[in-house]
Amino acid sequence: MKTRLIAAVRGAWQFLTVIPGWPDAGRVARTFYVLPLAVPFLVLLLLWGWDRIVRSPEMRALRDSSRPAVQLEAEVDELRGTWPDTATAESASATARCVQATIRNPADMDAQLAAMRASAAAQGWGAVFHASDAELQPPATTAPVVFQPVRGRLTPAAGNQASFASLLVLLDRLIPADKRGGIVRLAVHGDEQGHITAEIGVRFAALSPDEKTP
Amino acid sequence: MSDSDKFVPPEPGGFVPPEPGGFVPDFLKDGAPAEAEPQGAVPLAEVPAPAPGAEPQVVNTTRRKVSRTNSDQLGIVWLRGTLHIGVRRQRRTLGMWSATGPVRTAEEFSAALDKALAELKFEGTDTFLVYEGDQFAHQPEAAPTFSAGAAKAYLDGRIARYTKERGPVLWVAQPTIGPKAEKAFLLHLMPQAFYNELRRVFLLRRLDLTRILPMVVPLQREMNGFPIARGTPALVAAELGEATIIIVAQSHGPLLFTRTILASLEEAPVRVAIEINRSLLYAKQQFNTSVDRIWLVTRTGRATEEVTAKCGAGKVVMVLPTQPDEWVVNASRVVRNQPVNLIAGYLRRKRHAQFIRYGLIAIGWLTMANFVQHLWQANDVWRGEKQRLLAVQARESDLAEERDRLQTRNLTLERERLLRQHIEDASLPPVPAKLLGYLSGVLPADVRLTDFSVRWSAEDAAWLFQCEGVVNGDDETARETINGLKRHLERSPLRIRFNDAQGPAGRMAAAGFVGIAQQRFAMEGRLFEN
Repeated sequence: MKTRLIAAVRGAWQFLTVIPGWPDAGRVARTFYVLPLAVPFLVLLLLWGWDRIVRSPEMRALRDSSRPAVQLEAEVDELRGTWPDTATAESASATARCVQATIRNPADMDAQLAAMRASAAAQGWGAVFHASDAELQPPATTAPVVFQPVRGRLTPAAGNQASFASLLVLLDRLIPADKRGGIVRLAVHGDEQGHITAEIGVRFAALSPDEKTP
Repeated sequence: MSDSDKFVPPEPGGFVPPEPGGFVPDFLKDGAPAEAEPQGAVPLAEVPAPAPGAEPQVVNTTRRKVSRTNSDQLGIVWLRGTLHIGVRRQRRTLGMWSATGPVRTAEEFSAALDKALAELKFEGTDTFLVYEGDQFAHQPEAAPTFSAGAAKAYLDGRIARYTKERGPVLWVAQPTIGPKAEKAFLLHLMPQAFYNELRRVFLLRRLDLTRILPMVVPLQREMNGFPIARGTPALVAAELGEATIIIVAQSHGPLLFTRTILASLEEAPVRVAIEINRSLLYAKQQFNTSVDRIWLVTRTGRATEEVTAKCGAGKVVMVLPTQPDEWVVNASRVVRNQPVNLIAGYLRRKRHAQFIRYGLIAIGWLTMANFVQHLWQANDVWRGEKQRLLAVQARESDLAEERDRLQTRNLTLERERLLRQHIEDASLPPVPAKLLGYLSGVLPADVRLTDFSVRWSAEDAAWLFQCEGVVNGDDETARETINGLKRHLERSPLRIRFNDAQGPAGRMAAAGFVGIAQQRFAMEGRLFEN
């Protein structure tokens, strides 16, 4: 095998370095003659070696040492891209507006009940409202908002001839526009004389006791 | 003509049996082929035949000035002891040299060559040799006619047998006309050992021997210039030093046969004339060809009378006065890719090697340029990346702080978003009032509601409703009325679905009023539309 290899190398050398008209040229002459052929391959070999031995390890080392910082940079970019820079102020103001629409304390609750009674009275209805304890939404530990239930009974005031029509108007206007809430239950009973009464269940959004006000 | 009775024609494909004074194949005259000498053992040559009284002249063979860009040709015509060497540049002859003494061996040849090179100041390398001598045999062969492959195999077999008997040989086959319409060839054979000797002589002097031609090649070329019609058979007898070569061929056509007579046309015209006549007879007998034109290529025309006398009337005998050195010019005009060239394969291999070399050079330089460009671009990219990586490394602590700040900010924003979402979700659409209003709007006149309730079911994410009332009319009428009401509600935008357990018309029951038939009804269902 070794002999064949040597013979093959020698044959290739002879083939590549034979000078036309001077087949028995010496080694120096053959070497000069083969230079145009050998130079590009030697340069290729040198460049490839430099690339593999010098440059690639340097690149690899710098990339390895920079990987945590690059990952950090990518993480920062991702975090920055999640929300725009202006989101902080916008979110704060929007959240403040939303919080304003919740029941924040008992006094606020009383004010809403008073407003509801006034609204009922304006439509010719007498109203009795009772606020119950706040009910937590599942899962209670993560919900930032609880519901403040209110139960009430509506009876038409004396002289209210259009009790049903006024009831429909009252139901539309019962929940104050600046508060988040809604009617969750409505029961209307009419007797044979046409008198109607209504029982109503309302819930308001209220901040969880653990939630900090923004 | 009496001599012709003793003429023994050569057997096609076999050897000519020797006969006294007759045709003898060259390779049969010699013994075993010359042994190859060890490489590099060529001594400094001496001029073989110095003039009487002169001292042997030693010629330095290693200091010849050579220019590889010089395209001059060195033409060597070595014919039976005579040697003529000329330098040709395209169509001009720059110089001519002839050996004064006989040159028979390779040693004598190398010494004469040195002298000629010194005199001619030849700086090129391209060399051709026209050789006729003891080391060059020309053997007719008839091959099978059914395919070219079979003919080639036959020739290869003949060469193998020849090689086995006499050693390695350089050979080339020249197609000829066969005596009996077979596929015939003239094999030109030169012992490898002799060729090696010649090669060493040339290599040592940096001469690139590109062609070794038998004399028949320039002779046929000369013959094609004769003023005879194309295809006309003719006999040409040419003087080769101490011998005479006879060829019979068609003008501009193939060869019939060739013979070498070891007698000079100038010195022994009678004997040569007899051989010419025998050749004419041979052509007539074997090829059924009557050759009427005879050309004598010689220095003088002194053999004309003898030839005319021996060959009989009706033969046209012409003389082409030719000096031996004129063969150099003639041979130099033979095309370079002449197929009857003992070392045509060498030229082919040389061309292939040059092609491969130039191809490799082109590939090498192009690949190198491409790789350099690639590295250059990659390096530019890397420099940018390196600067960026170093900058990122430098602000790694800042980035960590920024990441923490952003994580905090994003958590806050997400929590606020979640809070807003929950607050928004806390609102419920005014479905109870809407359903009540809609129901009152579509309620038929003979239907009266007594109880209505609707509530939000967070588990089902739907509104559940119940209503009860009375319908005026009999049972059937009430059922139709309620069914119509239900169909109306189901097609409404509120997308009401009634509970199946109620039956198509809900629960009906007689109210029991006196005089007026009234039916109670109850309906349950849910709303999917908020």
